[in-house]
Amino acid sequence: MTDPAKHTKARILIILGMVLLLPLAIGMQMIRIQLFEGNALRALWNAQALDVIPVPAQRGQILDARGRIMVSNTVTYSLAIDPLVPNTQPSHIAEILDTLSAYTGRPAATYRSRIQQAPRGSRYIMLERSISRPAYLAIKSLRYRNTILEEDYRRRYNYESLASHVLGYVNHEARGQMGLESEYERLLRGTDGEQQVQRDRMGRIRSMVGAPRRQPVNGYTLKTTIDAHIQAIAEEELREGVIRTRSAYGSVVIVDPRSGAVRAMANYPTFNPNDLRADESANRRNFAISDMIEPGSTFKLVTAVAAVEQQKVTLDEIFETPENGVRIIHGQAMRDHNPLGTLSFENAIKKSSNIATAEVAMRIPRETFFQYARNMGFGTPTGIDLSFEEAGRMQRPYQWSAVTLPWMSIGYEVQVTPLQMVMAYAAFANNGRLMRPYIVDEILDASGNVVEKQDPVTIRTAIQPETIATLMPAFEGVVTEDGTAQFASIEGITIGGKTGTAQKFIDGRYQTRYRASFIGFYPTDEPRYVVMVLLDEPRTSIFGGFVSGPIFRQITSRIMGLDEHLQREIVEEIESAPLAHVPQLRGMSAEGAMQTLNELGLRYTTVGEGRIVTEQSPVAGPSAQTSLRVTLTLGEAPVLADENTVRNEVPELRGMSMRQAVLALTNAGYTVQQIGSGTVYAQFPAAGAVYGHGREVTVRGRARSMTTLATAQSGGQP
Amino acid sequence: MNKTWYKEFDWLTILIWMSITAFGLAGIYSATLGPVSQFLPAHIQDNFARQLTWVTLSVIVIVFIQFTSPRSFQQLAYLIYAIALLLTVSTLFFGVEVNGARSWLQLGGVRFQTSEIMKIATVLAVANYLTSRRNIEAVNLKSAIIATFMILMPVIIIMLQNDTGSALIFIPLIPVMLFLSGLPYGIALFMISPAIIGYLSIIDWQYGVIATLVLTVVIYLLQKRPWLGLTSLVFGLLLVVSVNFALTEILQPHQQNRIEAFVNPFQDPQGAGWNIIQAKTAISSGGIYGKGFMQGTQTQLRFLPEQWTDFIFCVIAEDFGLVGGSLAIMAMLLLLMRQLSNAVSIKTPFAQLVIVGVVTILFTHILVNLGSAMGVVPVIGVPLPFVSYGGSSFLSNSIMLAVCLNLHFRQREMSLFA
Repeated sequence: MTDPAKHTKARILIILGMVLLLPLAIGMQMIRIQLFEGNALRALWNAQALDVIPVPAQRGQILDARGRIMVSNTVTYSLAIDPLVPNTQPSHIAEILDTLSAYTGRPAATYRSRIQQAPRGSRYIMLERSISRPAYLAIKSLRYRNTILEEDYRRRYNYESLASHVLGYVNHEARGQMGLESEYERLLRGTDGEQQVQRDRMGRIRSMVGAPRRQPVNGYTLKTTIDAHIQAIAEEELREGVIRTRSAYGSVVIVDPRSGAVRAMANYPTFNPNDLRADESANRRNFAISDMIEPGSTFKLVTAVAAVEQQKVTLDEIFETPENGVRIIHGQAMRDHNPLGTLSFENAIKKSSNIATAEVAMRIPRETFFQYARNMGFGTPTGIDLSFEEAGRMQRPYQWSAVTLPWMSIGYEVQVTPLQMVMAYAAFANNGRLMRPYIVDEILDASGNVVEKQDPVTIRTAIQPETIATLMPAFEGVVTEDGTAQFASIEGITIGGKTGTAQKFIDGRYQTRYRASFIGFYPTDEPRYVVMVLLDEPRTSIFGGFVSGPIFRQITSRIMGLDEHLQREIVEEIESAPLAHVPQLRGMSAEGAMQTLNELGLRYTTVGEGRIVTEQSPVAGPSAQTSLRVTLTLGEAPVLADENTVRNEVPELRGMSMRQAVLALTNAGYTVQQIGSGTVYAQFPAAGAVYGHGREVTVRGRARSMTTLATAQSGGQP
Repeated sequence: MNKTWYKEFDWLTILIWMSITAFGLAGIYSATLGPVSQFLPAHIQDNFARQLTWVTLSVIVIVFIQFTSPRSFQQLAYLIYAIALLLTVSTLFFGVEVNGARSWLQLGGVRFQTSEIMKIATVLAVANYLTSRRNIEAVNLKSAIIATFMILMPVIIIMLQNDTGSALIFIPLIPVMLFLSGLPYGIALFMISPAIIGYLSIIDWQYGVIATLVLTVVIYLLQKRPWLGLTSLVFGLLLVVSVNFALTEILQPHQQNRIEAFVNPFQDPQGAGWNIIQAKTAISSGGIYGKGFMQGTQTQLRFLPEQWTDFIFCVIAEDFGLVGGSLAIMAMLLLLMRQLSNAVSIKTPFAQLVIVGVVTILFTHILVNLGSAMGVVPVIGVPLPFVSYGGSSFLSNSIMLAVCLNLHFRQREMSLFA
């Protein structure tokens, strides 16, 4: 120890050296944390502090063919409060409540009690589920952490129940449940965006400025083939028709045969997708695609096509039907609606003879017939872009019994959907090309660019054009005075079509309940529309021509007002055609009545002699047809009429066919309550009774099944 | 005071002290008045203002101390030590309990941590004692034992206050001050060897054994005394065994958890490991350049525990990144090195001992605090000098620094009259 000072200095330097080890150790550890443990720690940090909450995408709109917005969205804002946020002062809550009540008009005390009544420790107390946008912005601008403001998109169906079965509806989570909403769910929904938020130790959201946000991609817009105008017409006429005929329900489908584009699809009763609880959930069923029904006579199209194409029959071949209108085929009785006697095959279609049709059908091999039905789309789904479509049911030929072919040829023992029926007629109207029906025409992105365009899809050529050319006059003949669908005819336009009246098969047997349908297409030279009207269990008449025909006619005449192509034809063909309105002529002088009719351009014939019109046919009203000749019965008898009520004598109906009876009563201005079918054997009131115009006359027909006989006997004649 | 006094004064130390204090204030502001403040009670939010008051008070005290004669420290050393001991003992009986430790004395409206005064008092007294007993030889250890006893006295009392962290701070004084007074290298190393062996044994007993063997060899080479080498070996191995025994048998479960959490924090990330994980996460979340002042998410979302005191370094590292954190460490290091270089230039043994003692205490604080924050030392709960929130700590550290400054500033007075 030579120099203590130097000695000490050395020792201090050693201590200094040890102090210098500190940055080395610390620095190494810091770098280790940064580089080696960094990723794991940052992952942990992300897991504990970062979270993403969805930013809802706006669901796509649904447009009609002309771009009318049928479905859009509304945004609602809700306000909840978390009173347990640290540093929440009573004055803050008071300010929020005052602001809210200023916009909603409800006293702040209401909201205050809502907070007080909430369970202790509640951190999410809903104050108002739907507040206006100004209120939302005002409360947002207060910037209190304890306010929970949420945006919620809600689906809005702009035309309420219009086309509801096609559009469908969404559930509370805005997920499509039916129709297009369900079928195009993925495209409509879009992709929700994400907002990154930071959660603190307690899991509370604390969004920081500049946190990453992925914008939501709004759903695609669907441009449909539905024409809201035509749809509205269809729904309105269907509704009136269902109510008038007191049917259980009804469907109307309108398709453009050239492309398969569905112009309208209506069901009644219907529902309002904006307010689902208002209507029965059973109303949501889209009968047009989900109902499997035995179609009845409309299915004769298949028989006619198969027979003509296979050269088993010509239109002018003559068929003898039994005088009583009943033929026993393999032990089962097949009836015509009334005895038709001797008639050509063309007339068999026009007048819808079951017996003649079945006779023709039995000339066709089973497999061939089956193949024709398959080719025309039966037994397989049409492939329409709607959810819950049924395929129908058609047994294979080896499963058939001896009577299957004749009964199938008239539309029994086969189950089809109304849409399948429409598409088969559309194929007939489209030179035989069976099209795939579709509703969504274009898929547009949020900025309106077309993402996808639906081109018409031809499934196959089901019918040869020559066959169609051959058969067309017969189907045109249906919609004439001597066809079954004279009520569907309209002056100035050629309409082809077929009526159908099918007995319902329930609980293992055929009931005295019916489906009445009419399918028509027009103009027949170049069809642009196929319209099907189907009524379930009409009560005024069972015949498709009587109950569905007028609905078809109303729809068609209104479509004619919309479609310039149809209008042009009217203008060209019957320039002077007035509206179908027959004035009230009864009680007028004969001269006055004739003058009136001349002014209106209506043709007339007179029956009897006298100075006063005692009868007129058809009766006054807009429902008469312009093409009909007005029959005036002249006489001297005083008219039993006051200003309000027109009275008529009830005609003798007994012995008439039900069809004739209904026609007679309708022309006489009565409504018809029809029980059973076949030949009328009873009526109420009795013939000759003076009965108010528009009142109901009940007719009972002898049905073709034994059950109605029992009903008739128990009912008796009043 | 002569006319060129300002040339004698160590302005660099003041500058460094100011910058460290600035780091500290920024950290406290961010940790208590940043966006995180909404989670914090009002009395915590007042911490920044209180710290500012203590900084002001400390400036006054530092200036005041520069006017006292350095000789008075030596003359009053035992008196100060006695008064400080008395205060510390009385805290045992009259103290206020905070967080389970009865280490606070209430004087009027101000609370003061008596162990803080004890630090400078002990350093002064031991320095004074050792100055009078120059050159401790390996054969004559009486002075060393007395000095050790003088240091252990406050350690025991503060332990009784249940403030283990503060008590541990004194321990390194023993080897360092004795070493500076001439304790042979081998024995000095032998004295610090338990700390090294113990620390490594906690991590893994095999490390402890290796450390024992290496240290024994080094001690034997330095001292060439077989009995010392043998003692070192036996003592070291006993330590390894007893540490492992203590870890499994003696320590209370919560203490075991704390040790376990230090070794493997991810064993119980929600419980014992929470603090370490969150602290490390904060440091890593800062990255190289930091997230910006008051932008540190670990801090602002209140994931960090005790973020204005024990884990304040994490706040700085998160807000200002690796760069900012390194700068803060560098500043503290520079402060210590500056004091040691001053000590070299001063020829007075008393001054040298005092400065080295102060540096030891500050160094221990920094080592334990940063070590806890980075997960290399079990969480003990020691403030970071001049950075952590804490009035008495800041003041006492400032006083210690002021004494060092004074000894350097007025070293001539010492040498003249010594």
